[in-house]
Amino acid sequence: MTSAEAELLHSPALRYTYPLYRNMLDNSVVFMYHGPITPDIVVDVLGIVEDRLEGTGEHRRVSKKLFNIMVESFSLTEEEVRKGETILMVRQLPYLYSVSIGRRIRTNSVHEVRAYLDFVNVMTPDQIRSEYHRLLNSETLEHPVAIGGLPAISILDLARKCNGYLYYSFEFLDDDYTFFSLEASIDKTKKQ
Amino acid sequence: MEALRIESTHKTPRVILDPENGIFELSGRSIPEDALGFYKPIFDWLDAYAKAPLPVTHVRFDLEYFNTSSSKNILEILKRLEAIHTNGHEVRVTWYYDEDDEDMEETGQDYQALLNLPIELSVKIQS
Repeated sequence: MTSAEAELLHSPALRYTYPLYRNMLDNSVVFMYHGPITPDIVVDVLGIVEDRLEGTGEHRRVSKKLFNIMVESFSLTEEEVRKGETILMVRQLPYLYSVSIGRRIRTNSVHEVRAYLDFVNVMTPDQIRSEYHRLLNSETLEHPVAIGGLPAISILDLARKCNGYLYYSFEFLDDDYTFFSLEASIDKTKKQ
Repeated sequence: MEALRIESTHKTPRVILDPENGIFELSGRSIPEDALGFYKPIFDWLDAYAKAPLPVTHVRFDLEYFNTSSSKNILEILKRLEAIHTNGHEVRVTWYYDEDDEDMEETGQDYQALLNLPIELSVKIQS
């Protein structure tokens, strides 16, 4: 038996295909990507999602908003671009779309990231806008403000675009890394 | 002054800064790998242009989508245009947006709020 055959025997994809399909179906996942994220991949992913939306007759206002959220979600992965430990998921539910991004962050930055997201989540839209303006206008191009390795302005931008709550979770991996997930959603039925 | 022309790619905008023909335009997408690296030649060009600008400079922004690292660089471009305007040379900016793209409209409003520069928001005519 070759190494490749042994590998296939040990981990046959067929064992996971249906559960994965079922999981995506049950959770209304219409697109999922795992791997490194580069600008080229961002463009490809946007193209795939655009193709999927075209068939659904989705209103352009909603698809534009979804696109803009996806573009900014990718900005949260810049630090991890080369490492490939990133996942992106788009869910389509009856009344909303959601974009989730997951990546590893340093475990010692969890407290800082959580505190910042809690801070943003209690802001009013005007406060978010004002803070966004402050950062946009004061940050230097070379040294943007980062919260635990994540660009603060991207978090604010997502909060503005989804005009609501940013859901998040942390899964402890080890002393060095924690898996961080962030979900931004848009209401299909109302003007944001 | 020699024009600056950068052709668009699927992740960077087309840039035309052409005083001889009076065309100043950024259009397309902006999600470059190295935003500062992409925009630096534009800053340098504008710094040189600021020394002897046209009496009226009309700049068109017609962007499809861009990320926040690009938005900071676009603000830097607008700040340079603001300086030209403040120095007594008229600068007009038109910020085009798709009528269904409220985020792009809002971004134009952000720049209006942050700068002392005439920025007109204009709905894109669908072709």
